[in-house]
Amino acid sequence: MSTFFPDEEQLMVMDLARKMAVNEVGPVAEDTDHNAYIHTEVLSTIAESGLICCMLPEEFGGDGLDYWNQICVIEEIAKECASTAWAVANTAEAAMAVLKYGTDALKAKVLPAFANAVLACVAGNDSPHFGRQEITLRASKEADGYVLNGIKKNVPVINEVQKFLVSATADDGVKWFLADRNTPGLTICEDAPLLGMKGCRNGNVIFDSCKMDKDTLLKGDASEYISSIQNLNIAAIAAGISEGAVTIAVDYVNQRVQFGKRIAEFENTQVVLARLRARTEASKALLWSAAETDPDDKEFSNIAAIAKLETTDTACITTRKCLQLMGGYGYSREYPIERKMRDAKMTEILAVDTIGLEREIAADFVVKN
Amino acid sequence: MDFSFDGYEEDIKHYQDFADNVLRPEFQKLEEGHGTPPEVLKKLAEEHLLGIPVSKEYGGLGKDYLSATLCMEILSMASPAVAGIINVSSEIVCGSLAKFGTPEQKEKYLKPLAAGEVIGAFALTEPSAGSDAGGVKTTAVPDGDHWVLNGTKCFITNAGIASTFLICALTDIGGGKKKISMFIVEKGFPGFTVGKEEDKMGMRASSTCELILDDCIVPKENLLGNLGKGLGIALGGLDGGRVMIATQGLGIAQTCYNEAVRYLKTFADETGKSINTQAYQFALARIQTKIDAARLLIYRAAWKWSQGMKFGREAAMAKFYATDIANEVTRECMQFMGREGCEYGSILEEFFRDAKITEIYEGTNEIQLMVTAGQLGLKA
Repeated sequence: MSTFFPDEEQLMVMDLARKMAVNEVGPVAEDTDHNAYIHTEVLSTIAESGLICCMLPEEFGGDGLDYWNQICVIEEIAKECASTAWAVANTAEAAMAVLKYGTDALKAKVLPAFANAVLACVAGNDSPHFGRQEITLRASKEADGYVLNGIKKNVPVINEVQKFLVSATADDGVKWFLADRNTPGLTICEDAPLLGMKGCRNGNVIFDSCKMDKDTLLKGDASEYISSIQNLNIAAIAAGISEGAVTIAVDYVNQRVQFGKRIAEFENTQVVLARLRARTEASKALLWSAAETDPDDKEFSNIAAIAKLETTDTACITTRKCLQLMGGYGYSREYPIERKMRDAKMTEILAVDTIGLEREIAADFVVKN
Repeated sequence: MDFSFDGYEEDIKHYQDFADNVLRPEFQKLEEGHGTPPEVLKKLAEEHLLGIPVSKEYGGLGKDYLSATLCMEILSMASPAVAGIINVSSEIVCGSLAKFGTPEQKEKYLKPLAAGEVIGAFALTEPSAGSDAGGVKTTAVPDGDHWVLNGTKCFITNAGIASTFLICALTDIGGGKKKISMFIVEKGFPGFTVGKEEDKMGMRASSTCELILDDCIVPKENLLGNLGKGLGIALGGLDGGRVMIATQGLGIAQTCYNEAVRYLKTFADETGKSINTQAYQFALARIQTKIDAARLLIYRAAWKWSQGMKFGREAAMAKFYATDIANEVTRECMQFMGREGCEYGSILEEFFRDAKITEIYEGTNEIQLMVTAGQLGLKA
């Protein structure tokens, strides 16, 4: 952990990400939510600036930047659209897992595609209770690879992704595979839509004797790494949602006049927004310091869990209070704040949920052996 | 007050049967479209639930406000949106007509409303008059044997299904002064248009629209109450409305708690893993305590209301607290329920979206705090 404050190079990445988010993602955010799909053409445009997987080394189509920058890209996109940010986060996460645990052949094959906005998603937990880890997909070893059988549940961005990074239980423990959408025997089923992040449709992927080439297998158990990256990516989305919500509310209270003055001039408005600003800044500081921690550091998973717990709570509180300041208009779908409130709630549920995080964090320091 | 609710057993059973037999089976349908299924409205009328506090003389059930509150609680647990329709038509519109209407107005408008033959809507809010209810710009000008109304109302609950509207408009009260008066407007009056449906976050089983008054012709005799006293009628009705919205929040919260407990029990039964660990136990105990605290605040206000006592402060406190915790509780209970809790169209998912409006309409919670502070003598 070096510093909370971005250096010059990081600021340039942040500026570029913000421009891309505002100019490209913002205009399609409402449509993404309402019609429940990811505007992949927008992600292709963002990929041209190298931001989708900016933490990949240049040889794989990335910019060789560190993870902080990747988090910053996700956060900036989330200020405009949490669904689009979640699609980017999934792709970046799959890329990071392949980079760290994949074979050279796999890296050469898929990483440049990911950097070009060929989307991927990560699906580890099959439990309907998001916080409880459970893997029902089975992997059986064969001479030249594995065969997958069963259902992978809670698969995000299911309609747009080309690659699924999935966990499966084998005789010798948990394995992660990068399965192509066109693998023979693989069927995709959409699930019911959810409260928020509606642009990313969830679903199940059914594996019926799917042969997985040995190159699609990640080496070792990538579970903790993947889970931590996922927690921190969602923390970035939550922080982005909070910041976006405060911006919208501040614009509104400066325009809306009641009782003969702008509601920004009421002390309650100022006090509420001041507190939200403080919490949002705290979120960001926590997120950025976590993102500056080396993911290989043994502290990383704990810091990522803490960041997710705090930023998602803040996002839920912030969006609810910002909507409140906007009254009946905030409740209308004509304004983006109700979407942000729904999206915020999803950040608290997805990946490891609140109670799961509290247990993880407590296990690390409360009860001494 | 007495918490045994002696004498209310039949009312409670009546409301509970309606919630269980009519609303719960229609849950999915209520969520999907705008407006309420006509068959639900028909059954509301058959069960006389659109005129609960209206005297029997005018075709109502002749119940007191405590009974009306219990109805709101029980129905909100099944469908907050339908309970909201009743609140506007039965408590606010019928209530105002019963209190301020002439015998002719009662005969013509209150009777069909109380019988549920028609639905009522109440229009105070305008694009520039939200929390600042006095900022109304709609005008009513006398012209021969009628009034001419011009202006726009917004966020009007029931607008798409209502036939009788109570509309607040500015009138000249002499000496160059303008004050708000209340008018009874029928859907078919010339110059009256119901605008587009609001696309709302939640409460999607109830209709919310704009109203456009473009040289709307209203007969002279359709002024409700005295000239210039409309805001008093509107705000007077709001105390009761606040108790009702508080109760809507209460119903939402109680159902979310019940759903979470049911989910956790099913989960434990299916997996053999007890989920009644301390983290859940304490959280649920805390939630039910808050719900009960809200319930007590509401019952106190409803009891005073029924007794004909002043209850502005109690109503404001109940509204603020109950709707505040309704939002906390929906969020927290959804957290316990994994995918089931956040699936679109599930009870928790819908109630999470419904809950948010309860801390906005019928006076935002900021207004409730202003009222409460004023009542506590905390002057600026």
